[in-house]
Amino acid sequence: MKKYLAVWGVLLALTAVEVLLAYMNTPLAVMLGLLIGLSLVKAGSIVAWFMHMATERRALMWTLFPAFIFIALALLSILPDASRALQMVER
Amino acid sequence: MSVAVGQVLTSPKKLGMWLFLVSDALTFTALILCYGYVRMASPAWPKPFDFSPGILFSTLMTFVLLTSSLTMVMAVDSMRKDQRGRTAKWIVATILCGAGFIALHMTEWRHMMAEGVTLRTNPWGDPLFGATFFGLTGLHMAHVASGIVYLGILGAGVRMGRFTEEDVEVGGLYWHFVDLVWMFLFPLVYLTAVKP
Repeated sequence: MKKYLAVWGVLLALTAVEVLLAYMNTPLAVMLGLLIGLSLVKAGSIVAWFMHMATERRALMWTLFPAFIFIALALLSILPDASRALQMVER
Repeated sequence: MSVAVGQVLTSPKKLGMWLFLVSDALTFTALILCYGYVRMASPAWPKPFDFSPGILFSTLMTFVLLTSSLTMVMAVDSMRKDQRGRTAKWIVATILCGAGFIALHMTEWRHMMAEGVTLRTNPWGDPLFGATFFGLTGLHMAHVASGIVYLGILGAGVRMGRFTEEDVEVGGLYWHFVDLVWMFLFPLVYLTAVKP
């Protein structure tokens, strides 16, 4: 019970950090990197504790792991284009 | 030698839900990928979100959805202790949070439509915004709505003495997944399109 409250608190705090980040004059590349990192941490925490993957049989995790990796790589596959688009805007 | 199912395998229901969630995640991945691609190909992508209502509402929606995940784990926890009355109450709390999320989201959608955003046009120039915005957030909202129906059936059944601890946990898996998807949509759709 306390564990769940702690996870919830951390998730709320990380969300607040993300919103702050959007309003600070962070360089866009740094901001994107931090947003991606924080989102992955949040998603990982939800899977590990709320969805009980941390206390689940390991075999389930290894069954799903390849799909997780594929999804993460697919989502990041256009990131190089994002950096090109940034230069396009600045010019 | 006979072995109890629970000792060697994850239960079929749980595995089934996980496999569905992975395939559903791939659906969202495809949509997010399209959104990113179209966005990168448009140098003048609209940045329509003022602090209020856009960012304020979507932040509140994130908080509401995270809170609904907390109430959902509490429901699973109560069911594990065989407290059915409590479980049903936590499920109702989760449903209320989900309904709150949809109410906030619809308010925000109506605000954007009043500003002139449609699937094909928007008032900020580059016409490529509406379809991806409404498509991504709409598919997610449809998941929240079907989750509310799912939890409604689950909660009513728990109160009537039906369903096991595992059924509640599997329902929880679906609900947390909907929350998890929003953890990506919120920064991607809102935080990277804050009005400069």
